[in-house]
Amino acid sequence: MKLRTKKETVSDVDYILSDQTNFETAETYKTIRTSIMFSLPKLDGGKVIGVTSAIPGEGKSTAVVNMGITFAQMGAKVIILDCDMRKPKMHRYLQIELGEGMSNVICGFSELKDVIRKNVRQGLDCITAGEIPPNAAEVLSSDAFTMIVEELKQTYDYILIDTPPVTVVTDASVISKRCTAMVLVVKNDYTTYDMVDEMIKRLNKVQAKIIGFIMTNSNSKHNRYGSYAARYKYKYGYKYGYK
Amino acid sequence: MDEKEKTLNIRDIFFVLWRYKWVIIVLSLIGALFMFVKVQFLTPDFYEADARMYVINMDDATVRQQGGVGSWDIEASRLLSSSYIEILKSRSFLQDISDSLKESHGTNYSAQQLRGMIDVQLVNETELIIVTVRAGNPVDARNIADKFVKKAPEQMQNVFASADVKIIDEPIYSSVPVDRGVTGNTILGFLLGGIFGIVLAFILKAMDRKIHSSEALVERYEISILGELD
Repeated sequence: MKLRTKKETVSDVDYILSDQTNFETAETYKTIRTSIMFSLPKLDGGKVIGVTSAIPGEGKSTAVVNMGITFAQMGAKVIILDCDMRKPKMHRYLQIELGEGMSNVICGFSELKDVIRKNVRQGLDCITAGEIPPNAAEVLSSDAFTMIVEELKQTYDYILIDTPPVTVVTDASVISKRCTAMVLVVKNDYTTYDMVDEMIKRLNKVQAKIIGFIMTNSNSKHNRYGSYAARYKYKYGYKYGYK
Repeated sequence: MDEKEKTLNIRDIFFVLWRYKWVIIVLSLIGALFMFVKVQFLTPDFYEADARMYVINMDDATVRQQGGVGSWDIEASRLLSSSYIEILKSRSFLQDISDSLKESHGTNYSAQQLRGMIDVQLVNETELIIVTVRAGNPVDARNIADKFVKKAPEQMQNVFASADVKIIDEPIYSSVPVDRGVTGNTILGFLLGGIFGIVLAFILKAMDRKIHSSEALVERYEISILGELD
């Protein structure tokens, strides 16, 4: 019998979608994917979706990675960009080296094609944050960043951008100008209304297109997708003679 | 953003109480513990001695000589009972008792202290007065009650010449301290702690600015929820 000598902890990687992820969580991300797709305008070229939150620790980076995986599962060309250059996390969640990334490309030290990490998950590419620059806001507001995004739009159907929290630094507001839409991550029992008020105020100031919230740490029965799906299937099947 | 006026219904009240149940439980237990410790260990024993007196206002000298009581006397006594009580609680009378106690027993209680120790009550629908003395030791309680009832007739007649005081029950010596009511007070402490906890729960609720449901988020910002994750 194995004695448990230290408390088992859950790491960030455990929240990333995998074969071990429960059905409800996986289906919830598919629901999010569908909701986003229907909320986006019909555009030529890739759609840029910025994901932000009011404060650190709301589950934003996890959501970006999982959304990227989910979008890739439907066969779309997807890339996720880690634009949180102050506290990059994406490389940890994907268990890859930080290496060269967005900051290196924007500042002209690397080529875009050299920093794209192919197939970090099936069908999913990513660019890490790269070396942490001293002037992240200026780097992200540069024309070089805009050009990189435009170039990626030629190749990818969806570009998901992980941004820093809106109320902490201005980076997210800057990035949102390059985004087709913004998704806001809010953590239940954690984020306050005042913080969300401030987040929306800052995004409205730059005329960001907010398409919806993702709520993490939810205890609502509505996120029990499994039971909901079972009820829906029964009702639908019964009505149409489904056996 | 406009703050919509929100009222609490029964369901909301229940959820507030459930959400802060540990606050309520802990404060109830603290209240109970506090009262238990206070009453059990910090409250000194006290002893009671009580006596009963009958006060009658005898107006008719002839009836008095014959040892009888007329109906008007009874009625007068009842009407004057409150006055009798106030007379017996007067500062001068208590000072007199204080001086007498010092002289006879060497005990040193001021008139102010005696006022807090002596309780004079009228028995309903009667002319009986009950005097209850509470003190830190049974001897003092008895001595004070004894002095009180001995001096009461003189005090009454100083004010009402026609008043007559008869001692029905002499004060007796009680060696058993008065029950401090540990159980009752502990329960009281528990309830008071619980009430305070409930009040605190609603204060915390009012101060709580955190988001607790997706519905509240949608209602406030009119932005849809794309999904909810555990």
